[in-house]
Amino acid sequence: MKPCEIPEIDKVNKALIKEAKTVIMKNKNPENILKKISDFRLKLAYNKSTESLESNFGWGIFYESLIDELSKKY
Amino acid sequence: MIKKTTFLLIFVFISITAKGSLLSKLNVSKIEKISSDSIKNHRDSLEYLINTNSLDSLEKRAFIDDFYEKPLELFFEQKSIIHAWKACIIDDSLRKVNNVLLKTATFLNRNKSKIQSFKEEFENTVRLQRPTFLLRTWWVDSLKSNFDSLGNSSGFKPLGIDIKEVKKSLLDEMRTEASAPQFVESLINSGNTIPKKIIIGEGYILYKIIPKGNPPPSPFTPFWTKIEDIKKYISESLEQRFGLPTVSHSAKYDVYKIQLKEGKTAIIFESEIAQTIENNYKTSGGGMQSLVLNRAKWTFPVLISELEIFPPFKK
Repeated sequence: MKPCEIPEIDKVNKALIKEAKTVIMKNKNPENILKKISDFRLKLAYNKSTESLESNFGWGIFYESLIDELSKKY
Repeated sequence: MIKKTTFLLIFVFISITAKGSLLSKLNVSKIEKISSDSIKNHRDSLEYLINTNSLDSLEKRAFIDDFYEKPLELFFEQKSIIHAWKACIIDDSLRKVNNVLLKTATFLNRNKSKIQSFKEEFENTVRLQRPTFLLRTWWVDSLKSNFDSLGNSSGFKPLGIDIKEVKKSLLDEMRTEASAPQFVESLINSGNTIPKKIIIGEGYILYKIIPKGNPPPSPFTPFWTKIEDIKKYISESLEQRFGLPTVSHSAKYDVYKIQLKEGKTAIIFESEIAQTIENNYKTSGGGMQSLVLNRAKWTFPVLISELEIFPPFKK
């Protein structure tokens, strides 16, 4: 996943992906991480300066496939 | 004595004439040699450029037509000039203009992944509009390079109203409607006026412009507008009126639409778009935005393929 070079955003993004992969690997309940991902995306979207990061850095497709995989755990 | 002087003068005259004629003969042959060397060098250079840049047969023919008698120095001074020429090949007049090649090469140098999409878009633009397409492409590229080289809008700031100017009751209504009430406050300074609450019914449509060819907008973005506002500002600096970050500037725009789902009602909040600043690049704002706070009530964004926004070039 391409970083956006805004340290605080890249840091959260990286941590979320790491946590999501752990949930998938260890077959844990994904509810919590799904909520965190959704909150993160909403936070970016609700601010005009970060609104387009998801599209411009191609994160959208990545999140969608991650969410698909996590949702299968339900 | 007179005879001697006359003889001397005649001798000097003959000598000078003979020498002059000899020199001029030498010069002519030298010039001819330089000229033939230069023609040979030019043809060698032409062949070298064709071979090293793997031009296909069509490109090869066009390249020879364009540069058989024109200087080639430009191609050796900046290697990406040939990419610029290839990208503009469809237009047999613009592709020969040095300034077009130089500026397009600078753009392609900074946007290596966009060579193919630039070529396609240039080809898809009608001939008369191609200069505008080029001017807008170079303008947007120079803005991005000067004000947001990382493309992350980290220096972008809307200069709208302060949260304190909004009544608590209105903020509460916004929070009630929002799928992310905790982030509503961050929307307020995108507007220059207090958001106006509007209740809408099913079928209501809102629009968003996105740089042409970019992925669709985020499924959560609340920033939308009405089609009449897009059309209203096309010819008077759309980017300025919508207060766009430089990363969202483009030569052309795609338009996406969302529609309120069947059986749903929603509240949208309209406000005038605020001025913005991004590392000294300012926009005036002044357009209207419709804030959609609960996208779950709306359809997914759909690209309106028959609607392309291509504003004029304004310095």
